[in-house]
Amino acid sequence: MAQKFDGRLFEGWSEKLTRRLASGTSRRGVLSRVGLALAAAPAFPLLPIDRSRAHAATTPRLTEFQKNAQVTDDTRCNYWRYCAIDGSLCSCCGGGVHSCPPGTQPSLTSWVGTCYNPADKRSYLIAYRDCCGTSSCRQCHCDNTDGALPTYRPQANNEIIWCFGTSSMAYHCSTAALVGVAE
Amino acid sequence: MTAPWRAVKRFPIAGMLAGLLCVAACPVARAADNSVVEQRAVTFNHAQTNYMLHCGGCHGTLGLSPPHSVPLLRGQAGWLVCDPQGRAYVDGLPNVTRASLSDADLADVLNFVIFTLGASPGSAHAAPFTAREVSAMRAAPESTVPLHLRRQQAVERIIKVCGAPKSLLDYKPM
Repeated sequence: MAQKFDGRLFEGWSEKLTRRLASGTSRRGVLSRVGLALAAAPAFPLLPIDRSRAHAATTPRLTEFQKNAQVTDDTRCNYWRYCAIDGSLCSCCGGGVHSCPPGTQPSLTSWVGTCYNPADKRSYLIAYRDCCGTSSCRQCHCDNTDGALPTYRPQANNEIIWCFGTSSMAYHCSTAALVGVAE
Repeated sequence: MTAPWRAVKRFPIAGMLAGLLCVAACPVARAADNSVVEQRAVTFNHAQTNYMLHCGGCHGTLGLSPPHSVPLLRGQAGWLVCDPQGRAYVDGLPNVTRASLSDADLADVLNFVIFTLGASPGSAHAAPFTAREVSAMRAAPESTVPLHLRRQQAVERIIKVCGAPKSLLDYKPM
């Protein structure tokens, strides 16, 4: 009995509600409002979700040097391995990116830093070993400073001549030898 | 091997053109060689990478340095922890304590230098460095004894007590 009574009561309420809605609205009115809502939706901003972290996770923040770095010509200052080189490029002085010109001696000490390779998007440890023993080559002088620090952190300063331990402290040019991949 | 040379001999203009092409392509070819080196590059773990960045410039990426100018680490650094005085010398090295690394990361670098790169009979029974030890050595005031003298005393002692090699005395600071 109770079930029958409840069913009738609900039926009555819903009928009353539907009739009131039908008398107060028109089909065209509903359509126009829905259409207006659809058209206006893009004009309002979406929910304020912070996407900055997701973006940072996929794209590393690049330095000015990294934005302009290239991987094809190691005789130009913007070659990716030269991110913190200060001096003449041995590639322009008869040597190579990791070899000294004939008649010069590679330094045993060096400036070590990390450079980002845009081709494979990995960071590599690069050692800027100086070639020593003859006067400066003076070709292709570059001064990039990604990660370089002032002389109060001498091991991270790229203005130092690293010819310690060689027979002469005379600086000729700098190489950019690849040490390995930085983890 | 002989065919291309014959071709250059017979057609000198072709040879000259090839030469010009080489000049134009040389930087690209060199950079391409570089990429081969990059593909074969070894990957270093966190402690090794920190060693390269914070120590490897002077001490050498392989731990080999000009021994008169910079103390040699490879196969030698481990001797320093065979004796408490030697270990205290390591704990008080200014460029170690002031390295821009966390206590845990610095402990990892010290363990790499002493027990892997500089592994020697002297380090065989020594305890590894911990973040706690690093924290304590950073909190301790720097010794007023000149660093060169501290090294000389520590090295002379480990040569006498542990039988460390006399080549540790090769370092002659100016």
